[in-house]
Amino acid sequence: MEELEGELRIWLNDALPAWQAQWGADQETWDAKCDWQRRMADGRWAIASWPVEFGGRGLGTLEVLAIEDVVASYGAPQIPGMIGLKNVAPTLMKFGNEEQRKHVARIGNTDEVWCQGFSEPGAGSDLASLRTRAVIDGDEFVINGQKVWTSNGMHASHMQLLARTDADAPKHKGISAIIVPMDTPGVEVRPIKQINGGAEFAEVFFTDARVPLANLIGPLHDGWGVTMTTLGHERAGVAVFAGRLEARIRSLIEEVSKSDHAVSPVVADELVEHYVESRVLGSMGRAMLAKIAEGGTPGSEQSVIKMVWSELSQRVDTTIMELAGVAGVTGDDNDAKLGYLSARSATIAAGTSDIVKNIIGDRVLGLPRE
Amino acid sequence: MKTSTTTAAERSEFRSSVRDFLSSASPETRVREVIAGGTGLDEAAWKGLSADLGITGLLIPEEFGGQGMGMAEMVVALEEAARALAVVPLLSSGVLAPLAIQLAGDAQANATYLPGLADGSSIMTLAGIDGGGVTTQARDENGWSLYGTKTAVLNAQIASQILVTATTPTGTGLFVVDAKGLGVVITPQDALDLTRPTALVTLEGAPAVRIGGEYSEAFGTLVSLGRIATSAELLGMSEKLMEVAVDYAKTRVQFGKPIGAFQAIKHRCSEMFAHVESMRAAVETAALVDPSDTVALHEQALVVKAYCSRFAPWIAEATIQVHGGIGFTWEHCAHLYLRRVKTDEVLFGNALVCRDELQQLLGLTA
Repeated sequence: MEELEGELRIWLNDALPAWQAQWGADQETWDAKCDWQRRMADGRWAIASWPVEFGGRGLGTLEVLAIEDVVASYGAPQIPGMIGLKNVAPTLMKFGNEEQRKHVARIGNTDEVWCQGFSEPGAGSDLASLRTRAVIDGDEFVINGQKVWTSNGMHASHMQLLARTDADAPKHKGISAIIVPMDTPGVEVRPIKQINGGAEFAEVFFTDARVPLANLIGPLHDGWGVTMTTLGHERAGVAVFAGRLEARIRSLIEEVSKSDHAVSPVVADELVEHYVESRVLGSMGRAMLAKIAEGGTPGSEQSVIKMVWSELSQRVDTTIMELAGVAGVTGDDNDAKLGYLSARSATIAAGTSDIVKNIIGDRVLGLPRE
Repeated sequence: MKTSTTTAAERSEFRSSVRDFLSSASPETRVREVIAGGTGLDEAAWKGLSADLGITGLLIPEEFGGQGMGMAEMVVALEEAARALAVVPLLSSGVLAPLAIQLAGDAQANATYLPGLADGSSIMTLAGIDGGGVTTQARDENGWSLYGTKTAVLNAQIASQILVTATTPTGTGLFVVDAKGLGVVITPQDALDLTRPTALVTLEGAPAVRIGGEYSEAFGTLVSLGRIATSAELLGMSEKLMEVAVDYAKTRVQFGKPIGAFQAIKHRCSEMFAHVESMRAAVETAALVDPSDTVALHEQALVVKAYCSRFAPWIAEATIQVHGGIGFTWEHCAHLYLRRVKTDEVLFGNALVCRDELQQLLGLTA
C-alpha cells in the first residue's frame, strides 16, 4: 500500500502542476475536468479498480480508497465521469457483450460521458415503481417516459436506462437495462436548477425514442439485477466520507479556536457535540474498513454510517451558517450560504434518511413492513 | 496492564461464555430476588464471575494470580454483566480497585491486595467523589488518618476495604482503609440504581495506609479508564434495551398491526440501533488505546463517555416510550435498566462534564 501511495505521489507531483499550467484560469470548466480524468486514466489511477484486462490495476476497495484519499489531499479536481467509471463500466464488464464492452475504454478517457436514467417523478425512494416504458418493435426498443435527477445528464453522451419492458410482471421483474445514446431523436434533456444555484442534474424526456434491441444489457426483464449488483461497488465509500467529515470538523474547530473573536460557551458546546459524534463516526468508518481488509463484507454498517454521516454533515453546515450570523444571509459569507443550501441534499441523495431508517428497521431489525 | 492480548474472534468467544453463564446465573427473576433480599450481592453470580470465569483477574498480572489482560477484554465482561443487571461489584472490585492500586506503582500494595481481588475473595471499592462540599484530607498523625466524606461509593456495604483519594499536605494520595474499621461510617443511600447500592462514607480520623506516592496524575488515568468502563456498561445495557424494544414492537398489535410497522416506532428503533452501533465502535476504539499514552487515552475516554452518557439514557427513555403504559410499571425491566443507566451516566462525568473538558482540550475555551 505504501509503495502504491509513493508511486501515486510521484505521479501527482508532475501531473497536477502540468494540468494546472495548461488550464490556468479555466480549471473549473468541464473540459478541464475531463482533461484531468484523461490524465488520471492514462496513469491508471482513475481506473485502478478495473481489472488488468480492461487497462486497470485490479485493486481492491481499500487500495482504491487510499488512492482517492491521496488525490483529494493534493486538492486535485473532481473526476467528472465518476458514474461511468464506478457504476456503468463495472456493469458493462460484468453483463455487457463484446460489442458493449468496447464502451469501457471510452468511459475511462472521457470520449464518452455516461449518466444513469434511474429516478422518475413517481419513482424516487421506491425506484422499482418506475414507469418509463421500452416496447419492443421489430429489432428496436421504443422508449416513452421521463427520468429526473439524472446526474451529469447535461454532459452525457450515453445513458444506462432502466425502463419497464414487461408491464404485467411484478415490479422488480419487468425492468430492463438499456444503452441509450443521448443524441437519439426523441430524447430531450433539460437542466434542473437546484436551490444552491447549481445544475448538476437533468430531467430527460423520451418521446418514441428508438434504440436497437442490441443495446439491451444483460437478460431482458432483469435490469434490476444488472443494476443492483454494481450499485454495491460504491457502498464502501461511506467509510471514507466518515473519515473526511471527522477531519473537516477537526479543522473547523481549529479555525474557530484560532480566530480573534472569543468563542461563546454555547457555540463551543455545539462544536464539541459535532466533534464527539464525528469521532465516533470515524471509529465506525475505520471498523468497517478493517472488516473489509480482513475479507469481511460490510452489512448494516453502511446504512448506519450513511444515516449518521448525512445528518451530522448537515448539522455542521447549519452550525457554520449560524456562526456566520448576518453575513450568511447578506451573502458576505458566500461559502456559509452555499454550504448551508447544498447541505439540504445530504439527507436526500442516495436514499433519504427516512428511507434509510425504514431499511434498518425492516432488513436489520426485522420489524414488520408497513 | 496490557493493551490487548486477544483477537476479536477470541473476545467474541469470551463474550459468549460470559453471556451463557449470566443468562442462567442472573436472569431477571434472580436479579429481583437479590434486590428484594437487600444484601446488594448475588453471591453465586459473583463466585462464578470471579473464581470460575476469572473475570475479576482480567486486569491483574499473572504473577498476582490474574490473567494479565487489558481493557479490550474487560469491556466485554462489563457489557455483559450490565446487560444481565448482575448484582455484583464488578466495576468497583474488578475494575476500579485493581486499576487504582496498580496505577499507584507500589510493589508492596500490589502483592498485598491484587491476589485477593483477582480471585474475588476480597471485595474492595473506590471512594473517589468528595461529598458534602468537604475535601477529604489525609493527615500524618503517627501514620495517616483520613477526614472527610465521600459520596456515591459503590458497593461500600459489602467491601472489606475502601480505596480513598485524599488531599495530603503536598498533593494527592491514594489510601486504603478498613471498611469496618475505626472512624469509618458507612451510610447506605437511597440510590436510584437498585442493582448496585451506593453509600455515603464518612471518615472521622480513620487510620489509613498510603499506597504509592503523589497520585494526581494516576488519578487522571484512573478517571479515563473509569469513563471507558462505565461506557461499556452503558453499551451493554443499551443493546439489551434495543432488543427488548424491538421485540415488543414486533409483537404488540394495535390498529390491526404490530406497532413496529408504524414508522414512528420503526424509526425510533432504527435510531436506537444506530446509536448502539456507534457506541460499540467508540467503546472498542477507546478500549484499544494504549493506557500509557495518556494524552490519547484522555481524549478518547472523553469522547466515548460524552457519547454514551448522552445516548444511552435516550435509548432507555425511548424503550419506555415504545412500551407505552407497560413500560411505566415496576414489573417491566425497563426501569431497572434506566436506573443503572442514569447512574453510569454521571459516574466519572456526564456528557456535559465531558464536553466541557473537551472544549478546553480543543482550545475552544480557556
